Amino acid sequence: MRLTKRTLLGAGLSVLAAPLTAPILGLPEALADDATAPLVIGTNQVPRHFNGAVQSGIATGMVSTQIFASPLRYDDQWNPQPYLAKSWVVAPDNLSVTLHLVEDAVFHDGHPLTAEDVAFSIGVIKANHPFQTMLEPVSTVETPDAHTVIIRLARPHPALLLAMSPGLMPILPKHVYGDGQDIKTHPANLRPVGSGPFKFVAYKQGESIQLERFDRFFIPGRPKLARLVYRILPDQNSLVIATERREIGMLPFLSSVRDIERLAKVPTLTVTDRGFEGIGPINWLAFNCGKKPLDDVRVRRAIALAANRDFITGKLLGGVAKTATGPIVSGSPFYEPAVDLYKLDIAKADILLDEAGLKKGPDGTRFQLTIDYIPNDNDQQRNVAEYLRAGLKRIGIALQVRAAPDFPTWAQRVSNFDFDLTMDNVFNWGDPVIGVARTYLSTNIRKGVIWSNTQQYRNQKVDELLNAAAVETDLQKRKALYDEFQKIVVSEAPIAYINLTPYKAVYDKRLTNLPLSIWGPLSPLDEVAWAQGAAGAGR
Amino acid sequence: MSALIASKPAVRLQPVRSEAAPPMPSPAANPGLAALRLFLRNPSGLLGSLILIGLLFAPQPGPPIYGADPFEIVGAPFQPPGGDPVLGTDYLGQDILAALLQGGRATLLVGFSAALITVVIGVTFGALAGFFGGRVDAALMKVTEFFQVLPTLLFAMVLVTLFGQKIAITTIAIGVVSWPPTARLTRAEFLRLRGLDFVKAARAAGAGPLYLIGRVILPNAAPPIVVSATLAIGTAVLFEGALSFLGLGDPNVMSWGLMIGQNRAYALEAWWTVLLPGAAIFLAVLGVSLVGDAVNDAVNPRLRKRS
Repeated sequence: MRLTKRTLLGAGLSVLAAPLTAPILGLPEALADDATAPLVIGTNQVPRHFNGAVQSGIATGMVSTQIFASPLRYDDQWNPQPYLAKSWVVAPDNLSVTLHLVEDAVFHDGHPLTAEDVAFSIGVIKANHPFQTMLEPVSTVETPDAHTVIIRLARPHPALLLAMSPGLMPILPKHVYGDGQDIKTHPANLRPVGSGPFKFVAYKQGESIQLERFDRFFIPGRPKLARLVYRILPDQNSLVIATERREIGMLPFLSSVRDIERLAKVPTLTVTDRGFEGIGPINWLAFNCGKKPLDDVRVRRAIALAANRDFITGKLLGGVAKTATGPIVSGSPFYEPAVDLYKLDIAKADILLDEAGLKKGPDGTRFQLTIDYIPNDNDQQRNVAEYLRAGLKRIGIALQVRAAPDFPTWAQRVSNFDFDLTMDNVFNWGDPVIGVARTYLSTNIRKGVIWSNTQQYRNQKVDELLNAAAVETDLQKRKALYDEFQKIVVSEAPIAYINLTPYKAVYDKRLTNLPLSIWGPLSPLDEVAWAQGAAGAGR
Repeated sequence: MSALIASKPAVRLQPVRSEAAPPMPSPAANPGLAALRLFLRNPSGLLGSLILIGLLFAPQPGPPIYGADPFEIVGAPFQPPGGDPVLGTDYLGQDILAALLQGGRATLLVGFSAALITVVIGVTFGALAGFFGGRVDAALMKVTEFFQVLPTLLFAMVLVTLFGQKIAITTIAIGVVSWPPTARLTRAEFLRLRGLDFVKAARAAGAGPLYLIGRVILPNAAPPIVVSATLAIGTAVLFEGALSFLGLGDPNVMSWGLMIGQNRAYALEAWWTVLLPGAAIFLAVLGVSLVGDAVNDAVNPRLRKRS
């Protein structure tokens, strides 16, 4: 009995103390005065593998963009820049793009990179990448000589140049991946060979990834860093503490309000929101339009009117996030601000629900709904879902929060239409064809596929607009099509847009040439360097 | 302990008194009352009971008196205590005091229900194994050992993950993982008691096994089981806290564990959001523990032997 009692008391104390003792994992501090010091990049995402040709997402992308080079890269103004392609020509009829490749690019194993590898990679991506619309119009790829690639299109495809970005079109070595094995499970996905600035050294599953400078990188004098080390710490608090202690030099994809506020106060760190224009992340509330009563647009509008976005962005998210007004992020050239804004209006929401025939019961409740959210993202997902429980109670909707123990459970529910409402965090991926259309096209209602049209939203006009915009090469006309699309979709509300996910990247102030292009942390870090003589603590 | 020593002379004096008064002596006629008296004489037991009664009854009139829905958003998040609301707000702007009052109900309910499950399963297994012995004992103890070697928290996490984050599932999961010690304790008591003369006498008088287990042995094996059940409440409360802390609580039922779990990420910026529910759990477990200890002293078999 004694033992039991003491254990109980001890455990009682540890419940009190546990939240205050964050685990700190020791690793030698990066020494910036040594030019060969590694840049330690902190992440809580565990990549399945490092082959960005068959896997989307930031976990794979962050590493894949360092190991593999792509035909093009981008500056911070959405302008394509030469990378593996030293120049490119879009044919006047918009039905082909010719790439002229650099001549001295080699893979990490010494094989020269040729047009064959580019053609092979485009084929692999078209067949395997989850973004099916990205290369769908590509009909054939011709290789007239070793350093020329002609991409032929079945119809104009203005998103193609953006699809040649580092995160979306890694060029794979054909002599490694073309051996007939299934690309998605190819052993080289975990021991990748690319032509990018850093070569793969080692991966400790779920712990760290080590990359090393590739001496024969095709851009002379780069990369400037000797080594990259990705430290995987599943606990967000440990990441933040390690960054404060300068054990981590770069912490991309930080979205927790308190963590941002905390690290912004550290004098040795730079916190920036630049570098996420390309990804274009939106945190939103999705409705299952295939389910009663959410198939009624009045019900969806009522919920959108009751979701007080000013409170969410101003109070819950502490003012660090911008309000999202529509399906396209405000940093995109296609953004249309003149849409329904769904300002908080309880009275109007009540009227809409009454009109829909959903009267209040004697206890003030009209009906019950559930809400799901992506686990492990408290600020953007869980807290907003829990806030909505209180917010929707005001219009007589009893909202039950359904927690999911892990990401696959949530994805399983949502992709199989087993939900009423769900919070979601979806990326624009630069061009609406790549990241926006997938959520609204009725042809993209694919059961079991997450981040397809899981809302089961169907509108023929929207389909027509999206398909027309996908092939429209005139920027102004294309924008006009997307403007109309945005107005319809916001008005019909298959999704209530909450906020732009306030991703920030944190960098040690001793780093120079930060990756601030539209793809930010998903672009090659070949220019980043430790500042000369910037060493020393206490700065 | 002091109560135990102080009461010893009374044991010695007793036979003299019982000779003087032929009807059954009062302590033996009502051992429960005697135990209660001993319990109340124990200061730590009294303190524990007071804490528990306080915690049990504070939640009951809580909502009517304080009148706040713990899930309602009353203001900006992270308002410190001392303003309005009195104990501040949490990460969503929910009222901490309302959550503490309402949350105690769920937490203690989970504690008592899980302890009940523990006792029911544990006593059934232990009693059957200890009474019948032999193959029955071996089989039942194999099952018990199987559950005993499973890491309890991990197993509970698996159960909650599989069957969903509902408060009922949490309660069952806690009960299912924490019964083996009770089973072993019960079995030990049964093994000790079944060979004693009064059991043999009852058997000789023709009592069947069910009667022997339920009416003859169990009442005599009860004291340590009661004590372990009391402590099981504390363990269950902690378990609920631990599961919620790991993010496996029921998000639709306010409990102290849920408060800690949900606010944990903000502990450094807003200490009150985790410290206050943490203190409530600490008090509850302390109260249960003190009561369990006092019950142990009060119903100690050495005191019962005098009857």
